[in-house]
Amino acid sequence: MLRVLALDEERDPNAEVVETEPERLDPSMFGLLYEQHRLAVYRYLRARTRSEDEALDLAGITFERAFTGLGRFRRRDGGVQAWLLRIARNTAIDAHRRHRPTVDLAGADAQLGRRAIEADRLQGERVEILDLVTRLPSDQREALLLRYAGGLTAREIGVVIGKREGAVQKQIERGLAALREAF
Amino acid sequence: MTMHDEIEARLIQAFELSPSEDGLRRLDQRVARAMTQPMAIPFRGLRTRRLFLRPLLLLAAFVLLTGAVVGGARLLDQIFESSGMPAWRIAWDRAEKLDLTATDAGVTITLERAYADLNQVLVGFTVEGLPAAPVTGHGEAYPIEWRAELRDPTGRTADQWATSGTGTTVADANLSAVGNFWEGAVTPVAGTWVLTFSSVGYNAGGWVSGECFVGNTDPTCDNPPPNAMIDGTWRFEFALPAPAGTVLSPHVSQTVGEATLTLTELRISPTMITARIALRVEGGTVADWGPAIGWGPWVHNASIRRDGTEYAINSITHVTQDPDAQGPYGDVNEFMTIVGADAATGTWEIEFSALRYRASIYDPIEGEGIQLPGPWTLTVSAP
Repeated sequence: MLRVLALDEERDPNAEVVETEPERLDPSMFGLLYEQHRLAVYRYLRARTRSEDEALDLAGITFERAFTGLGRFRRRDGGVQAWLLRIARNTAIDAHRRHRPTVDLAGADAQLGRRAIEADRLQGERVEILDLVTRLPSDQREALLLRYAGGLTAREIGVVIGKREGAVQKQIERGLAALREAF
Repeated sequence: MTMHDEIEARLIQAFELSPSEDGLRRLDQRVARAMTQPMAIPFRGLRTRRLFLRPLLLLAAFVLLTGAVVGGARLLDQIFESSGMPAWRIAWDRAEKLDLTATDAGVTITLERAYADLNQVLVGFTVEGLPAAPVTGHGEAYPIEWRAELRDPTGRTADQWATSGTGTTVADANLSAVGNFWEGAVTPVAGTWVLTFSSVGYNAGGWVSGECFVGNTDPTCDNPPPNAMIDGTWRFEFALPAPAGTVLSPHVSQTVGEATLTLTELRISPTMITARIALRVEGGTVADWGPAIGWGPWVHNASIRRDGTEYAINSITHVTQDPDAQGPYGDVNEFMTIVGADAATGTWEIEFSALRYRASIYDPIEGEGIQLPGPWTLTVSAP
């Protein structure tokens, strides 16, 4: 049976785990892999979706896809968490496009973000900062979501979105600067 | 604290959302169900029942970067030399050299060698004449895929006896080489085998993680290339000697309380040892079981030994996935090793430090399931 980790036992976003991860994954590792990364995947998807149910559904699809495609994992592609969040991101994009083919991504994301806020009835600064994040340019918003909801490093984010680490770092800095200015 | 630090702290706090306990439980169950489905190895013509593929035998694809054109036999040699699997090397070295060729639809398949023992069948073949392999978003060439039916000398197709299958490929220029294994209870007779390919190519439609659905035009997606399978008929007949190995059917058991563990079969062959073991719990249902402490196929607390020598287990196949299909000994697993033995003589001992089972595969996966403390030891002597 699955050993349940306390949420705060799950992966430390600042930990340099990539170097200690295996070159390839095999099915025997998947249970532990799921335990370690499920919360990061959920949080990233939750930040992109309207409800907990939707985020959980996409997280389920993400891990189903990951299990099916274990043989495709290569450590050099950024490590397990980056790999999972890349699948999660594609899953979210797929879901979005299936349901809203005519709405531009940035606008829809902002709309979804606001709905998420309403649904959760978040208060005070949380609402304010999430609302500000949804107004950022899409590349900055994506970098911040992967960094602070997904827990990835700039290098890992670069693998997920196909940009260099330095470019990702700039997007994060610009996003943070915009938020600072707004505050 | 700098302003950025403060903003970062606020962001982390804002995104620090956790699912409800019920939601997390549903997600756990969904993923657990996905993991209990057989991992399909598409386009090998196999019905794979193996829950967890052998870690070292997952499909591996290599693209040679030397630029030099290498012959098919040499490519196949490279597969088995670089596999890190001594049993593969043994199978390849002992395989019958066939060098049979068939051409259809502009594609030539050459069956280089074939091997069978009582635990597995290997064929090594090359494919020539396919267009260049499409490249993934990561810059890797897609591995070759194929559909094939293997028929043994008694006329049984592989889906009637093989519990799993796997393949490994290597490509160089326009030539691909494939080692394809079928694992299971191989029929113990000499005779003519028939291998028929019906399709070969790339991207037969299997889902690849990280990709979006076909047709998604979002530039951020890593889309799969179009289907590039070529249909045809490439048929080979070849004779193999009687598969090497010994099958013991000891039906030795250990009972603790209501639980009985029974070794129904031990197949010993030059490339693998397979122990077929069943668990039955009187008055209860065993939907699945394992030697693990924790959840998942962690087989480190199980061993197969002969006279002090250990044969490492690295794979479990859940044979009776439908509880209604269980026989008198209960739910059956097959435990497979990564090395084999030429002779069966000696005292074989299979030991589990502990067992656990679930009464339903839909049971909640938190907790430790139903534990059966060990050690559990099954012993059989072969003359």
